[in-house]
Amino acid sequence: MASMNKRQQARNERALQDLIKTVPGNDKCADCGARNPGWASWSLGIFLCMRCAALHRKMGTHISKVKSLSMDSWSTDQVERLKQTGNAASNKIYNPRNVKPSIPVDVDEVDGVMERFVRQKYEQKAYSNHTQPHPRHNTGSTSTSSAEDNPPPLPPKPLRRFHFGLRSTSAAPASRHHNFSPPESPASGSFNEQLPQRRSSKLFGLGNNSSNEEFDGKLATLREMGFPDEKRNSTILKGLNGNVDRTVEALIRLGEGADSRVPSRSQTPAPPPKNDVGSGITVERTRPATSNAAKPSYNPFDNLDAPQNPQQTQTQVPSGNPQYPPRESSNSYNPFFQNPQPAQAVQQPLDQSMQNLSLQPPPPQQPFRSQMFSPTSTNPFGAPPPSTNYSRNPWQPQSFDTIPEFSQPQQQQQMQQPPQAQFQQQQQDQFQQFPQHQYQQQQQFPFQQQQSVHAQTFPLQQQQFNPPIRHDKSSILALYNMPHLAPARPSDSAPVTPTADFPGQQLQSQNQPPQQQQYQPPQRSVTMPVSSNGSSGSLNPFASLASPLAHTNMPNGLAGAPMGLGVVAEVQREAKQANRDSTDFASGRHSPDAFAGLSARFVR
Amino acid sequence: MGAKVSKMLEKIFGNKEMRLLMLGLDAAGKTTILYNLKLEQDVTTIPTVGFNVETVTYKNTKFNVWDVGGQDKIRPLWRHYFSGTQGLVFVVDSNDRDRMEEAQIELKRIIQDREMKDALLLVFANKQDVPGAMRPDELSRKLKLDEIAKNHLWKVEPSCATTGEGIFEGLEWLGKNVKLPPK
Repeated sequence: MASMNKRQQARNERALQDLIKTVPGNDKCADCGARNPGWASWSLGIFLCMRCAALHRKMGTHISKVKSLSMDSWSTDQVERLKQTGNAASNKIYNPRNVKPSIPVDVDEVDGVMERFVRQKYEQKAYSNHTQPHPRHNTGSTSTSSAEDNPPPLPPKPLRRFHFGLRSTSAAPASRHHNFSPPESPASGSFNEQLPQRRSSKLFGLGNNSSNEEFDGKLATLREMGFPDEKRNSTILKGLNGNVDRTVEALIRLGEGADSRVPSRSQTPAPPPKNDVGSGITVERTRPATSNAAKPSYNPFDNLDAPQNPQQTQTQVPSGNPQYPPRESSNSYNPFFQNPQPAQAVQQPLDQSMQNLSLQPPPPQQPFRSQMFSPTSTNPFGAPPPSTNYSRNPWQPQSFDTIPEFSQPQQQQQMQQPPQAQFQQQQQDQFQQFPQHQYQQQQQFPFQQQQSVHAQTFPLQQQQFNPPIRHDKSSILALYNMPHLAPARPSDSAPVTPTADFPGQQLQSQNQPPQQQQYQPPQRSVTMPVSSNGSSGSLNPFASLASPLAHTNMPNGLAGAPMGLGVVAEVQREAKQANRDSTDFASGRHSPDAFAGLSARFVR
Repeated sequence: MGAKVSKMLEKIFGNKEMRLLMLGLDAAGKTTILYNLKLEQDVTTIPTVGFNVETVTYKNTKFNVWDVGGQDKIRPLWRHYFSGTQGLVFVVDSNDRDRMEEAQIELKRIIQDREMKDALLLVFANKQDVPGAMRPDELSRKLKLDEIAKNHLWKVEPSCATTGEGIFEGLEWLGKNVKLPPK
């Protein structure tokens, strides 16, 4: 191989390029369909993209011998191999039904999903016609296998959760994963059959704990899988000793397709899964799980959002962050989800909380949506901060993460409402948020004092300036759409020297909201019934105010040094906005204006 | 000054630094080994275009590991990484019998380069987890190590990059046998 004259090599390379251009199918990766394949497996005779080439290499040379089209030299034999086979012909053998790899919803899972697909395709030959039955079973144990048999939209969800239990893994999606085990599934392979089985088995596995709920959960599962006839479901389920897998099989045999399973994306937000989730989860998990439970109902895109991931992992692996061991209430640790939920969830018995989950999701959902969209629409800061934050402190960044994204809509909201309404709303919001941070309050007592001072000084300014400012604010904010979002700049000078000159006003207007909110100790007690630690009530009213500050400062390392007012206000503002937004809905229960704000935000 | 101090520290604590060059045919597992060393976990790598370099500290020795892509046409670039290399880690896909000869030729070319004359040679007989993989002794015969590396200290270490098996053993051997470079 090595010894080949250059002319021959050049000729071979040209031949390869010609193959890509002229032979239909070769212009795309044989496995994933990516354009412009730069690699090829000469033993299989197919063209590949780099990622799939990597996966082929990973399988080993006994399965696929991969070469780069540009960085390797090609022998005539090898080129001939590619000429004779090619992507189209190869796929006829290995994947006659044109099974697509599932679509990973999670960025991290992209490779995992693809690897499974490729391995099944070539290593286990799961998709080729003859060998079908066996590989299925094999794959069942090792990987998601048959999931790929599904039409593209369906599988992604289940698959994606398969590996990464840490992630948001809602019970339901997760449930789909374990199911690969059932080898009995008629390999003839209607996808529909298999999916439900997978799902159910998982749920089954997880749900073993309590029998009654378990049964209900199974029923719910069945329902979700598209077997609407409850009576029959339960009958069969009982008859089969609660074996969901077999029930599903039976049901399918009876002629009920699982087709009704909605494609994953559209499915998530829809009500039925929620129910399922709820029931499934009650059985399976304890508290922390509940917070997760709500997630499945969220827009699937939320999962893509960076900020959420850390949280989720945190909730499940609480010990991961040494800095914040003291989680006092289960509610307190997940800033995102707690905000809306804790108040309700805690009050009610667990069972009810489940029901709540189905109800609650919608509210939290919206803030997240706004989170998603706002950055794209106007806010340049939406995307970057999360990534940077990551590196700092998994706990804290959350507050920051949300800031940029939320802050903008918030501002608009403020402008649109009469000042009074703003205050109310903000205040409410603020106070609801506090409970989450309270564990920090306790740690940071000294700061509370500092804060209280600020709080006292600032409200005056606000009141003075607000009417005029409000006018300016809208225009100014419009001008400063992005800049005001930038965390550090504006606030530096403003809070310290509240001058009446223009820039000062702007800055203040930005900084004000946090301070305004500081004023509502009473309201907060109202809104925040449960989640707060006992301490919140007893402490100085300003203590709560301090909390966001402390909260945000800590991670940044500012906490150690007595910070200037500017910094304080700044940080505070950020924290507050983040919190406020997330709690908007909760507060909305109390003030109709909150919803007005929301709608306004969406209009954007 | 700084050099002196660090040298003294080296003597006192036995800390060493070692520059390793990891080469081998494409898809032998070089990058996987590198990141298994670094992260101690199995990562999915993509074909290396260019190189990867990581620093790994193991048993008082700080290893500076260079992993250079192994595709045909970029192998001529390998020699640019030779100078200053104290240890050559040559990675072989133990299951890729067809290319054993190719590997032998490449190894010979590297190890007999003037700049590599003082380097230790560690051969990873990689992918031992694949059924039918060549055992180390067979591999050393196929690579003709007795012949091409007779002026070098060499060792063949069976390894599995995905599980990390054998990798630190190899590193340990290197750390033990490295001579401090005269400065």
